[in-house]
Amino acid sequence: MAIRRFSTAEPGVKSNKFWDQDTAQGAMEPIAQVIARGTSSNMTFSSIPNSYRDLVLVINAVSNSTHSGNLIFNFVSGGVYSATFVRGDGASVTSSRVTASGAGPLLTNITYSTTIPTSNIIHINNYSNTSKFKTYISRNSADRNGSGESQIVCGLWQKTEAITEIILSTGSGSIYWTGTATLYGIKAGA
Amino acid sequence: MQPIFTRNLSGSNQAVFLNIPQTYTDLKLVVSARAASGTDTAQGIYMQFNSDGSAIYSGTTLRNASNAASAYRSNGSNAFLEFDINSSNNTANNYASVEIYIPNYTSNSFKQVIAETAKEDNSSNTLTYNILRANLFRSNAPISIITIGTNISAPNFATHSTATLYGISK
Repeated sequence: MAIRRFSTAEPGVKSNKFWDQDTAQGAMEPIAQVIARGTSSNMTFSSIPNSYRDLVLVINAVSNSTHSGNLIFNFVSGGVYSATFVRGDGASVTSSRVTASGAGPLLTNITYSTTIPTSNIIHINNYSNTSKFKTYISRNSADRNGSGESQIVCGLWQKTEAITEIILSTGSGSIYWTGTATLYGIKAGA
Repeated sequence: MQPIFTRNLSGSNQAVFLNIPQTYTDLKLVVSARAASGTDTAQGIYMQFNSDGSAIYSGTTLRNASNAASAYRSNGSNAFLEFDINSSNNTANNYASVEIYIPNYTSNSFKQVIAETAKEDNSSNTLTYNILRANLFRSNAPISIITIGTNISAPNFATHSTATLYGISK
């Protein structure tokens, strides 16, 4: 175990003190990263610690197929997921919603490219609170120089259990994709 | 997430982040800005990577302008645009917030960047913006330089405008 000490600041420089090698409150701390290189239908994060306030999942990947994407929490697939979408395709704004779904919709009909990655940032709030249903906000970036879309998704998982497993699913069977999915934890404040 | 650089933008129309460490997974740039001039009706920020001014930037925008939702795109640009900020046309002390997230910035592939802009003003006489923009940089080069600046007539940023670049660790 590493020796810990209080951080120090230069004379005259205001600084918050915290233990070296601890994460400052509110900071993003990497938990796990999955690297996809081949044909699969999902990525899985298991045994997620409950020591953070929120989770952030960042996906940056290419694929050879147009499909939707889903989140599945704790392997629960009953009709306890719903989501509301707003999407811009370069010419028009469209909106839609999904209720009583077997998985948490993350994006819809994203036209993937084998050379241009798509990026997603998904914030999962209060993921370990056992008194609340869980909500998430996903921001999707998929520009392809003349086509593509940007999209915001607000999702709900109507379960109060703490989230310990996250499956990122293509929603349409196995496809070829390559890229990364990185899960970060956000520390609570004092 | 660790701060790499913070720039005070006051009195200048551009900031350059040089020698960005290649040791993080992702970058996040957070800008709080206002233009010191109201010459341009819709002032915004441009952004370039690696001082590359070739036509390899594109974007798809989802926007609520005041109370009108719209979607549009720009292709073959020489910089990322459309990050609208407040100006002296807006109520004093109002600064726009812009957050730009750059995943896998050291990769040898194209970069897909997510950006959000909040330009608010408690007035029905001025435009407000809530913007989500997908941004594509069609270069395989790792990003080591980021330049941001005001566009159109390139006015200076107002006092108290700042930009902070964060690195998000592996």
